[in-house]
Amino acid sequence: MNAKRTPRIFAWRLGLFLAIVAVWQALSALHGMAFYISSPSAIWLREGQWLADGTLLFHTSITVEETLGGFVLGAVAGVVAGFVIGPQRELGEVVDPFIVAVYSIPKVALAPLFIVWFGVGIWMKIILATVTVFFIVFFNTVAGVRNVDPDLINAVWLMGASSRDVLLKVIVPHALSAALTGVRISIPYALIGAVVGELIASNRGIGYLISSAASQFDTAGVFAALIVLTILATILNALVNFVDRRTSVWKVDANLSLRPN
Amino acid sequence: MEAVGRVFFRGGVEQVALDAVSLDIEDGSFVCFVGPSGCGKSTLLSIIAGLIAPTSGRVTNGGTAVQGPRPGVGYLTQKDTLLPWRDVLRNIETPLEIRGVAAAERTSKARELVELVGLRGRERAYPRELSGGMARRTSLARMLVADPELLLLDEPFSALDAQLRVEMQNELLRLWGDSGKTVVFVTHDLDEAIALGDRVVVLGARGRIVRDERIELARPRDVVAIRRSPEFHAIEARLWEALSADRYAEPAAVS
Ligand SMILES: Nc1ncnc2c1ncn2[C@@H]1O[C@H](COP(=O)(O)OP(=O)(O)OP(=O)(O)O)[C@@H](O)[C@H]1O
Ligand SMILES: [Mg+2]
Repeated sequence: MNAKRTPRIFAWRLGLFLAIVAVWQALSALHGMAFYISSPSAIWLREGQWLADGTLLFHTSITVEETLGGFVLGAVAGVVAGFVIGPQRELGEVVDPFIVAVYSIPKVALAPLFIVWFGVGIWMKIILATVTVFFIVFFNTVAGVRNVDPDLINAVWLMGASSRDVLLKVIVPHALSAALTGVRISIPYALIGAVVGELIASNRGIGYLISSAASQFDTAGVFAALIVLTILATILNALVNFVDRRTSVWKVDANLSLRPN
Repeated sequence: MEAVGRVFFRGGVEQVALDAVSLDIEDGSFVCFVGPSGCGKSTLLSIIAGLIAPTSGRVTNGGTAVQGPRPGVGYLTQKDTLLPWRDVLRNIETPLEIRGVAAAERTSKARELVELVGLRGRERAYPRELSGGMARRTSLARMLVADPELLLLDEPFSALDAQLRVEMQNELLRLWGDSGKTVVFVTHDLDEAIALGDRVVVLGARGRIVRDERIELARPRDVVAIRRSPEFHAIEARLWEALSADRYAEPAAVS
């Protein structure tokens, strides 16, 4: 069934895409419309021009750099902080409200502060992406550390385990799979953090391409940059799915260990 | 091993899981506990294991009070507690790993146990890929690999099919045979208790001992053959009566 359906769905997708492009092109031919919606042909030309003069590669590589930098820093900091704070109930109870308070701030609102602290260069975007990623990974790791089935801990304790054994053989493996879930879902958020930073203050990156084109009423440029962003996000999502498939072999759903009887 | 337990268990309101249970379990004996669901069998095992503390009374082991888990005790809990991120073989190795046994020795011992519980070919399966009975046998193997002196078994064979259950029962008797190990075995199945035990302790609905009977059937036993003997039926009838007498006497005493 699947073998038959896949090509059909693919054909429909292609058809829908072509229809959208055709309608778009037709609408843009109407008087004055090109100013608002540009046109697929103009966007296509702009893409080609950017590709030729290196604009595309330059700005995309900046955004990718910020995204990856923020992702790595945020993921590492989130896992480490989660493992430090997670097992200590009392410390957790003390700091939890503060962490939730900071988490609740829309990350965009932090951008002006980060400009003051880190300037308008690449670090401000990296830090913005880092903060976004950090919370996702941190909360997942803490939940992983705290939700270990106490029966599993008892089981190894009965074998004469030290608290170090309990940590290494039960808590860490359990929390690691939760942390990994956090890391996985945070990848696209790193991109959001980086682009938001670029939109607010920058002279490079895809976010900058969008805002500079818009400020010159260059609609074709805005759409061209948006398309690049879409492609980048799609690649990142594909990466997420790939990582997901590779890790689900050993990744565990803790609930599956609960068996009746 | 000598155990004197007088225990209460509390949960929100005071709930009596075990009411002043006192008994001695001799070293090297095979004692079975039977009783209705919720009568406190698992609670009793957890107390003997040192996993939970009695609210009254005490448990002693060779003269010293039990105050927590101790080496030489294997406890197969009613619920399986295999580590989901370890395959069968690595799960069985866990107790040896904690003890600091070298990797090669660990693996060879674990493989012996895999063989014993009939899980050959499933060494690399993860717990979520096992059937209930396979998980149970893995847990049993994990407990046995540590070679405990005292075995606490909470309904170890209830998840197995009839044939496999008989095999495992015979295997357990063979293992225990002349090892000098002590076995405390909890089950719902009166037949199983009589076929295996030196002694069957019947617990009543409110956590009291309603009958404590020595089983004087000859050893070595075959769990299938023994069920056909007249002595077996006589014992079963007596214990069955004790169980049902307790059931019908009880409802009057509501607190
Ligand atoms: N952690 C707990 N908190 C509160 N009550 C508990 C707890 N554990 C057991 N009990 C109660 O103690 C009583 C005895 O429970 P226990 O698990 O020992 O029964 P059991 O004889 O093993 O039953 P079964 O044959 O169904 O396994 C039950 O009434 C149960 O509700
Ligand atoms: Mg029980």
